Amino acid sequence: MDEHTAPEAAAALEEVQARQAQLMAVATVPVWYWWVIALPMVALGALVDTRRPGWIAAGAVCFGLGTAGLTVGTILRAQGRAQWRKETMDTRGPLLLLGFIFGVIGVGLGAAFALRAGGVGHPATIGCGLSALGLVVGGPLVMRAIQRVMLSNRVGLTP
Amino acid sequence: MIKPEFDEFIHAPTRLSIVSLLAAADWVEFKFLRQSLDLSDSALSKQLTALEQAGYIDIKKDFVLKRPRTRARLTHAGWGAFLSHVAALEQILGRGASLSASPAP
Repeated sequence: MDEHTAPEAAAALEEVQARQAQLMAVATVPVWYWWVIALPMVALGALVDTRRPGWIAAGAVCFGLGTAGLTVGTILRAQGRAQWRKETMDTRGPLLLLGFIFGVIGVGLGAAFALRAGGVGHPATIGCGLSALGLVVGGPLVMRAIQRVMLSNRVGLTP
Repeated sequence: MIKPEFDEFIHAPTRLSIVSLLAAADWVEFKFLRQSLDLSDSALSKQLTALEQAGYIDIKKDFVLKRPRTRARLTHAGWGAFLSHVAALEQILGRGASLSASPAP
């Protein structure tokens, strides 16, 4: 072991960390995922503002099915590539994700109802727009935070 | 505590990359390994076979929706060797081995 130098060991450990981070990235959804959900969300808000029940119902069903299909497809694609070690994900990850989703939906709904009460036009579109903005800005940040949680829980390296 | 032990076999650059990826996962699919490491099929196969012969990894072949799939995972021995090697690297850097024993995959 003596013939191995500190720079060599540091480079090797960097490689280990980089590869583990590469694998953790599989567990998170890509940036485009948030855009694909956010844009139809704004369209759904616009449909709600038309106040036509048939259109709203059809739009809500399409949005729900589309979002569910995209999410399941993204998860299955990730699981087909690698299955990360379960101990790398503690309760912080799911709590972070759920808090984020309920947070952006809550902000959007709250804004829409407040705008409607204030007599502002297109409240649902604006509310969904806020939620959509939250998704495309916050989604990648939450994914990075989850990745950090997983990296902090990985075994084999001192923090 | 993990006993630091430098493993020349794992330390080879490509094998270290493969084992590092596998150490973060229960299993990893062949294509993902190939893309992640930017290796050809034959180069990756050669390294995986060497690791399998050393007893460090298991290679499993099955079918998903009639498509062949090859997966690799660290064995108990491979897991132990990886942890010991990382501990040795940290020891070289003077960080001291503060690794805790963790369940083998």
